[in-house]
Parts: sequence; structure tokens; C-alpha cells
Amino acid sequence: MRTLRSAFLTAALATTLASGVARAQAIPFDIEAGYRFVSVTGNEEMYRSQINDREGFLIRSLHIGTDEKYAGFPLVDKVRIDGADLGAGGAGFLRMEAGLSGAYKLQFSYRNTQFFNALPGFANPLGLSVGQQTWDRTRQQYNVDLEILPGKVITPIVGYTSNTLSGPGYTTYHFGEDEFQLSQNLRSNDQEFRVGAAFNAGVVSGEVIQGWRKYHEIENDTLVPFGGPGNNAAPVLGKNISANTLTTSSVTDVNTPVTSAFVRGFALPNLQISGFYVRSNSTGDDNAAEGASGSFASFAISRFFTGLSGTSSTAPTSLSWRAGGRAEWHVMSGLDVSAGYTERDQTWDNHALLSELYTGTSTFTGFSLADFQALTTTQTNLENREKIADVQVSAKALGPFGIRVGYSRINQDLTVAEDPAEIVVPGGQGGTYSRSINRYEGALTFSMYGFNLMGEAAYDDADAAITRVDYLKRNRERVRLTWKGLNWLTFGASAFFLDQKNEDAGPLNVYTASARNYTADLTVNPTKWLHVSGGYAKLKSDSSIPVRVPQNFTTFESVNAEDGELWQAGAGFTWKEFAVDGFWSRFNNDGTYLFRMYRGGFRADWTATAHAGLAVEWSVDNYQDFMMASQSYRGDRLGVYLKWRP
Amino acid sequence: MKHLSLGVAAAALAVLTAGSAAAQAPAKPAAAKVEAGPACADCHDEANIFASNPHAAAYRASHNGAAGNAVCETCHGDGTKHMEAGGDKSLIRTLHGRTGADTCQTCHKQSAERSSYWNSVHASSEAVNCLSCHSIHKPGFKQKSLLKSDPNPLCASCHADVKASFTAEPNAHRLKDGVMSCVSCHDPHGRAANHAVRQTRSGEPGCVNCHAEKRGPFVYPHVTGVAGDCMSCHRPHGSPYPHQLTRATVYTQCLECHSTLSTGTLGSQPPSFHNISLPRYQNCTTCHTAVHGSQRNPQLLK
Repeated sequence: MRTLRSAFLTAALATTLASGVARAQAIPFDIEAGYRFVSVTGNEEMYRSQINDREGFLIRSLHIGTDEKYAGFPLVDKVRIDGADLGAGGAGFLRMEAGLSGAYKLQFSYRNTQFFNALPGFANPLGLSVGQQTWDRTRQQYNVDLEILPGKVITPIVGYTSNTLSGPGYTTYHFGEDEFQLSQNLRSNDQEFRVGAAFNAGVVSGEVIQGWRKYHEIENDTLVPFGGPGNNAAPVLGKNISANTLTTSSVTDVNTPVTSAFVRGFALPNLQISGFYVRSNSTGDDNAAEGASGSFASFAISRFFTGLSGTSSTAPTSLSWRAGGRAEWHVMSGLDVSAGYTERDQTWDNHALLSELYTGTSTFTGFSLADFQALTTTQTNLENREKIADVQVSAKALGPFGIRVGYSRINQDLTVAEDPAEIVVPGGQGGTYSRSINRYEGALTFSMYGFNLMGEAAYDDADAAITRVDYLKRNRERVRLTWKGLNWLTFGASAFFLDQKNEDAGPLNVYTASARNYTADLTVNPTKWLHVSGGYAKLKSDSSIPVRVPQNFTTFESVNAEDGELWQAGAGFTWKEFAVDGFWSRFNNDGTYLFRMYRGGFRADWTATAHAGLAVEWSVDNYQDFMMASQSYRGDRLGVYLKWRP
Repeated sequence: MKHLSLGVAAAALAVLTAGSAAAQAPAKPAAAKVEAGPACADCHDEANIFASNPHAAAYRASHNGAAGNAVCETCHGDGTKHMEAGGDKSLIRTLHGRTGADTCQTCHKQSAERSSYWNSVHASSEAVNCLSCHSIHKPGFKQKSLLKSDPNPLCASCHADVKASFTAEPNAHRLKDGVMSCVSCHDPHGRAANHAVRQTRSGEPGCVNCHAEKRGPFVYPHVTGVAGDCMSCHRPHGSPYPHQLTRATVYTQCLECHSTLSTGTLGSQPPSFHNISLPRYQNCTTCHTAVHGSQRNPQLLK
């Protein structure tokens, strides 16, 4: 209903706008709207999790724009409105820019994104056909920015952002030594109001913005019908675990003032000095309650129990700041030098008070006991300090060549306080960690006779790892080549190599990862009315690291491999008022997870008159899952759209 | 608040619509300075098209409505000799290549904290320069920022491997619909460090610009951008695996960090009742649902 309402509102706005513009007859305007049909065979849940194109009315694209001042409307000399995929689209947007030169500049954007998740094989311990963690949510984002007197000495700036995620879902909940499925209703909203000013005093300019971010989240979960037995059918210490009722609710608020300041100045016409300071201070407040009745066990209090009433009140806080400066010297045409330093600090200091009243308790041997109340207070904190220094030299006036070399050093100091409540197996919960990374980067470009060659490389050398998958050495190289030597032929190729290792932290902690990607594309335009293209890509990655098996403390090698091959082809032609474009691709993954994905489609355009036309668009995704055949699907979409350009 | 926002948007659009409806024809531009001699537009159609270009509008606004050849000469220099020679191309400044970019940068030279026209990842060379992506005179009217075409195909013309990943992988951000594009996450004028990925104003990974509920702070944080970041577990350019994860199974994703096989790294060991030979324990997130951070459970169970 919400989506339908949004689509209707959007359509109404667009129609109103279109009629107004149509009467104006002069503002460039272009809309394509119609109806999309969807047909899915196979696993529709999987289709929606990956594709989620839906059936219904759709504004495929909308463009309105002018840079001219119009008689009768002196307050605007620039209007630009763009939109796409509004209505039944899985991800739609509407964006507007309006302004009057030297007076104001207004930007507005709206995004609507559909999130659907019901993955049969994911977080689904019993291998059921429908995943237990599912959701069908909508994210609505709005952003407005207004600059007054842009480009003048002082430019006041005000802005507002809203980001709302809401909708139903299902989640799992670990309780009483079993997992239960709960229906979940979530709504979160993140807003920011900001006000500030940019200034431009000739050689010195900058911007100061003060923002107030407010996050509010409400979540209410209840046991699903017939969810009482839980996931675990086996008794726990001889007792069947089941829930008659199970509810949780929580309200989270986080307030964050954010201050940012940036100033730049030209010490010399070709020497730019800049500095910045940003500080944000989050203060959170989370209150939650849970209640349950049934037959449960708790290893934490070593008892069975029949009911629980719990509350928690927590206060997460975060203070972060960063500051830095940079000098950029445009030595001469084609030669630039840049050096910068940034220091950033993040401190999280959190408190929690949890109260849990267990009722109907008994020992594991069956003796009845009084109600049991557990009060827990915890305090967690974390501090992270990073210092980053970098220098870069670019020499680009070397005939057809250009070179960029750079060096940066990153020092990180991290302190995490151990939380006693977390420690089950000692080790790895906290401590002080330091890591320094030396990074050497370079790039080479070459351009001549229609060839464009770009190569870049980065080599990282770290002295320690903070997590096991951090690298100690990482090499990345990339080469790209394009050739447009003939008007009717374009060729492109690329290669990417990545190798990273952590082999110096002891023989039991050897982590290796690599990637090899190769692509080749060819486009041929033998005539103005025909184009044909083809491409091939190899996407290969491997990683390996020993991990410890929790239940017996043996080790095994966690190996991940992707070995994908992509073939794609496309063709299109135009003839008088007709145009047709088609594409096809096949991706085959022979790595750890075996699957094949076919994608294809075509679009036919008929420009009936200078102002109107028709478009027919068909696309298909055919996912073939060789690990779990029940996840396969084929989704066909057929859209018929009217094009109107008054 | 949603309705309020929609109301504001609707009002703004209605005002614009009313204004445009009232207009029957574009007003003539303010009287241009009368110039003697030939005009650029006599030979170049672009000069007429250019009248509606933001560059021309900005020039008129800052020069009391003056236009004509002066606008063209801002970038191309004095065209008198070019005209006298019957259009000799060698006698007029063009904006092609690296040296052409120098002309653009006489105005577009101011750096920001993370972006720079002088030193960005795409800093002007003969191979990549302003005209590689921007069409100064005749952008399609559907394109903003005077881009030659939609951002995605522009970026893909060089970054073919990234395009291939988005095309191939079944789990990826939806780039085809326009709501997201490469520039949603990357700043094409950003500095080379960290792939010119955008961050929030307060410095978090740009991911939380959309995924705001993952920002925290949390009483019991997990990765949070401190030890690792979103990319420690997710592949933004597409993945074979659900939720764009980097591993095919959840327990390998988690255990690669959560194995205390070496000292001195952060990441605790799961206790021994986690029998990963059983399906119940293979999907860690069945119980540890709050993997992005929890406000009330140290094991991220809720």
C-alpha cells in the first residue's frame, strides 16, 4: 500500500508537471511511461532477492531541463528535473535542481529503494525452502540543499536529509537455548538538519557547516504462529524447549551534532593550502523490553525456567574528530606536487544496564527454586587513532606519457577494552593494537595514435595485522588499454592482479588471497545505423586461511574460490523512425559456489512523430543454481512505454 | 516527516509548473553587447547551442548580460586571427588533451578535503582529461554536469572489469536503474587514495549514507570501520554470494577472523558447543543476528 501510494503520488506529480510544461511548449521535456509485465518461473523469492523488478505502472524516465529564463517566471533561470524507474521499479529516483544565477541554487532528490530478502539457503539452519530471516522493506530518502547567493562573498547554506527504512520481516531469536522465528516490524529514520555558510574572499575561501543528526528506530517482534517449538527439536538436558509467547520491543535514539570546517587559500597563484576540522559527538539511548512464557533453559543461570521479563537501558556514545592540512603546488603546466597530513580519532564509550527476571525456575535436576533476577551492568570502550601522511608527484607533460607516483604512511593505534560479559573462550576480545602501513603507488598513462594505455600499481607493506585477514603485504596492478584508431572500431582490454598475504604472523596464521581479472571488449560500427559488440571477462579469485573448528579445536583450511567466465554480445540498428538494441550475456561460475546466470533483452523504439513514440522493452534473467536447484528461477519482464516529448 | 517532505517537494514542483505554464515562450536573453565584426556563431552552430549552457549563463550573470564572442573567448582566447585566417584551427585555443584541461582549471581549481582537479585520481593527462567525460558545448540534455553520457557507461569505458562484475554477479547494487551510479560511491575528482570512495561528512564509510541503520554507535560494536570496514565482509561491485558477502558460507566468513590460532589479533573464538558439522551452527547469523553491532547483547544475539 505504501509503495502504491508513493507510485501514485509520484505519477501525479509527474503528470501535473508534464501538463504545465506541455503548455509552456518551450522547456525541453521528455517522459517515458507505461506498464511492465513480469513473469517468474522457479523460485520467486530468489528472483525478488536478486532482481525485484515488479509488475505495474512505471515512469521509465523523465527529464525536464532548461538553462533559460522564462517570461512570467523571473525567479528561475535554471530548472532541471530527472527521474527514473518510479512506480513499480525496484529503485527509483527523482532529482531536481533549480536556481537563479547569483541568487540561489536549490537541489532536491528523492530515492525509493525496495529491499527484499528471502534466501532459501542463507541463515536457514534446517534447510527449509523459505529462509527464516526475510524482509520486504522500503528505503525512502530525501535530500534538500539550498545555497543563497552562490559564488558571492558569503553564501548561506541550509540542508535537510531524511532516510527511512521500514517494513515487515522475519528474524530469528536465540532464547532459552533454542532459536525461535519472530515476525519483525522495523522502522528507522535518520535525519540531518544542517546550516552553515561558504565564504569566498578571493584568495581565501571555505565552508563551515553545523549539522544535527537524529536517528530514531522502533522495532517490535513477536513469535510467529506455530513457531513455539523453535528450531531445535532435540531436548536440552532432557527437557523440551518451547515458547508459548515471546515478544521483544526496542526504541533507539541517537543524537549527533556534526561540525565541519574547511578553508583553502592560495599562498601563490599556483600554491593551494587547505585545512579542515570535523567533529561529531553521538549520544545514544536505547530502551528495550522482552517477555516470554513457555519451557526454557539457561546455561547462564544454570536453570530451567517458564517465564522471563527483561528490560535493558543502554547508552552508546561516540566522539570522533579529524583534522588535517594539505599543500598542492601546481609547479607548471603538467607538473603537480601534493602533500597532506590527517589525524583522526574515534572514541566509543558505552554503558548498559540489563535486568532479567526469570520465573518458574528449577535446577537442571528438577528442584523448584524461587524467581531469579539477574542485573548486569557493562561498560565497553574503544579508541582508535589514525595518522595518515601522504605525498604525490604528477608529471604529465612528457609527450604522450603521464606519470604519477605517491607514498603514504598510515599509523593506526586501537585500544579495545575487554568486556567480561563477552568472554566465553579467553582471547581476542580486547587489547591494544598498533599497525603501520607503507603504501607506494604509481600510475602511467600513454596516449597516441588512438591508443590509450593506463597502468597503475600499489604496493602495501604493513608491520602487523589487527584481524587475521589483514594483509602484511599487498600488491595490486592494473592495466587498461583502449584503441579507437578507426572510426568504426573500438577495442578495449584490461587486466587486474591482486596478491595479499599475511604469512609472517606465525605458521598457523598464513592468509593468502589473490584475484585475476581479465576483460576484452570489441565494438564495431560498420555503418551509422548498425553496431555490434562482444566481450569476454574472466573473474577469478582465491583465498585460503586456516581456521579452528570450535567443537574439537582441530583446524581446517577455509578456501574460497571464484572462477567466473562472462561472455556478452550486443547489437543494435536504427532505420528511419525505428531503433532496436539487444544484448545477451552468460556468466558461469566454477568456483566454490556453482551457478550460471543468463541475462538478455532487447528494446525497440518507434518514433511515430516528433513528439511521441512507443518503446517495447523485454529483459530476462535466468539464474541456474547448481548447489541448490530449488533456488533457480527465470524472470521475464516486458514493458510497453509511451514516449512523449512535447 | 515523509509526508512533510513530499509536501515540500510537491509544492516546489507545483510552483515551478505554474511558472512554466505561465510562460509561453522563452524570454529573449538580456541584450548582448553589440560587437563589430563577425561573430563566432556565424560559422559555429555550437555558439548558438552554447547560449543555454551553464558556462554561458554564468558569464552573462557576472557580466551584466553581456554575451556574444566574449563568452567563447573566455576559454578559446582571442579569435580575431582565427577569423581573419578563414578559420585556421591552429590560431584558436582548443580544450582537447592535457593542455586543454589547463584552461578548464583556470576556473575549476579549488580543491576540497577529498577531491582535487589538480591531483585527483583522474588528474588530467593526455589519456584522461576533462573532455574524456565532459562535453562542454553539446551535452545531451538528459545529462547533468555536462557529461557526455550517463555516468555508468562513461566509467565502464575504462573500468571494464568493474562493469563485468556488475553484469555478471547475481548479487549486486542496482546500477541499471539510475538510482545508483558509480559516482554515488566514488568521486571521479577524488584523490587516488582508497579508490576515491566517498565518505560521510563525519568520516564514516560512504555506505552508511544509505545504510544509516548500520552507523551506530553501538554498545557492543563489531567491525564498525575500526578494525576492518564494510568491505571486510561485503563486495560492493557484486558477489556470487547472498548479501554480497565475500564467502560462500556464513561460518567460514566468520571463522576466518574468529579463530584464535595466533596471538595478537582481534577476534574471539566461538565456544565448543558451536558444532559446525550441524546445520544449526553453520549459519552463525541465525543466532548472532546483530552482526553490525548490538545495543544490548555482547554476543550480538539481539
